[in-house]
Amino acid sequence: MLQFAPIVPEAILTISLICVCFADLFQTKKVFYKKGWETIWIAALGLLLSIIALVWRLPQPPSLILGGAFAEDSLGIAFRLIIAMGSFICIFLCLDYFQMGGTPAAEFTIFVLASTIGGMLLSGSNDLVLAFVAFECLSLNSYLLAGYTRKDLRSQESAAKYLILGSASSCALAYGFSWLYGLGGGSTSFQEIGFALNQYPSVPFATWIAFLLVFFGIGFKLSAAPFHQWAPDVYEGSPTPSAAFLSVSSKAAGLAIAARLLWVVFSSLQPQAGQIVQLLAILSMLVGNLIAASQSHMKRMLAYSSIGQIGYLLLALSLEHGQGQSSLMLYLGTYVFMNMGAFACTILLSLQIGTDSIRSYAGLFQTKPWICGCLSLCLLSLAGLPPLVGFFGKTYLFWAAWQGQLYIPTIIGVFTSALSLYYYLRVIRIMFTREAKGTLSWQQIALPAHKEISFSLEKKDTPPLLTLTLVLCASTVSLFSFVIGPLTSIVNDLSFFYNDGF
Amino acid sequence: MIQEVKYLTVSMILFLLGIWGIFLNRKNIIIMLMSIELMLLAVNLNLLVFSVCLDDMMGQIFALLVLTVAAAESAIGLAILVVYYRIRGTIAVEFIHLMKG
Repeated sequence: MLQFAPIVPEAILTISLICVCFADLFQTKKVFYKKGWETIWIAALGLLLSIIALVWRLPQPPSLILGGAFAEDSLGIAFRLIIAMGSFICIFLCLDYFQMGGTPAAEFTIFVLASTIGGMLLSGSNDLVLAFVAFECLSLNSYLLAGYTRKDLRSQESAAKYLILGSASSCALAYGFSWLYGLGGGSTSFQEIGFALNQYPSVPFATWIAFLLVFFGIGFKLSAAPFHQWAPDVYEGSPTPSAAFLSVSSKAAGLAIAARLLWVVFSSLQPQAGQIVQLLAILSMLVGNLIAASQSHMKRMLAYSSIGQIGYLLLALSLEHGQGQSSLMLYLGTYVFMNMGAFACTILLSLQIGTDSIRSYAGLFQTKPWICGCLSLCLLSLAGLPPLVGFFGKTYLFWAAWQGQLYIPTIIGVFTSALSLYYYLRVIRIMFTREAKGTLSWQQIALPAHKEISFSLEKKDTPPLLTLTLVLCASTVSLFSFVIGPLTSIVNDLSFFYNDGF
Repeated sequence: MIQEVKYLTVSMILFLLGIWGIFLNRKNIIIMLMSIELMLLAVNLNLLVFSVCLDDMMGQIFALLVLTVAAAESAIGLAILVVYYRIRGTIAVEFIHLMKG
């Protein structure tokens, strides 16, 4: 019997993607900055329905569908839930940003929806072919997202850079997959390949080549340390909502496929494979947190900080026991809200003061106390200060890593997260203590061609959707710490990946 | 068996040529896109060799999908390059340096 229920969330997203295309086609309003409301609501509704469907599927027993190509297990569902939530927040970030920049927002929602579908299929994929196609679906839409503002040279440049490096890395992934196909004895299912690699360990050298190629491709997507050079440039150049999407949803999808490959396919290479992932984690923690301290551009700083965060997540990924998986999910779940909140504040501030440089945030607390308060909450949570949710996620993660006897990586992690407090606090100190300088208002910055837009802006100085998102993220970051106990027990109940049959 | 190793060596040489074209030849973006195509062709050759040797159909289907994805990738790549050329006036790699830490 053909089972359809496990991919209902993706089906809902696909339908809403088609609806968004048609809604954009039959757009009647001629004034372009008013466009986009309908498409935003359709996309948000689709994402909300798909989140509900995922929650409905969560307690189901694990199963394989589509001829074994797609696995539904609770860990995969949790990853898909996180991806859908990240995109849901991202959709709300984009409207005001693109309206003020004079770009229609409808295509942006199309790209976000399409790459969300790719990411969700990737986290459930259990087959080389589906994994490759879903990975490319995610990547190709990410290139388009990076180059979304067509008239901005920096956005185009970051798109070109991302395209070349990203396609090269996904070629490496595909080459690794082709080796896996051969080494697995002509099978594309993850379980069968893992079984074959365990059964006939006569060619460990070739298996190692496949492992390195595959993790080169995925490490690039995650922007883990030796492969991180693209991330700061792309985050700085691309429109801020795209950067937010790249730093949350696409990384969650990369982590999902990395976990599945590491524990199902390459189980014969353990524990050395896990040690390589730990090496990546240590490098990312060090590089991200050390270089972030010297950045003067807010988006670049967030890019390096997300490289550091991916180091913590990779540390949890490399853990063998169940606590590693649950601490990964808990930290990833909190990371979505912290990082999205920080990006939402960056967008709001850049719309109001017209720049992203950290120095221009000086004295903003006097004029915009609420936005600065929310930004401080999100940044402190990213740093892991006690009353906020990031602290609990990080503590659980380090505790799990210590239990798994990764003493040196844990010590480095604690040390670098203390270090990260320095650069997060630097932003907060500049906002709260410095005197405000005479900054240009956005009316002065807006190009003459965009006069129409800037006129429309005067009436709504605080964009409603952005503010709503900001309040959502900040309240989640500060209030979720009260329910962290039940949350942890839910996460602990998540089963491992679908891996029986052999 | 020896023959298979020869075929696989050819595909590995193709793949390494592609990498060489991207990371060592830093002059022209079009050549970089061509190198990416070359790498994907190496993937296809690898899949086809395995598919014939192991007598399994799945590799050929995979190769068809890789072809499709390669077409989509080069379409998007060329589109991005056209837009970039319109605003910048050049696609030489040495001019892509607006963002530096």
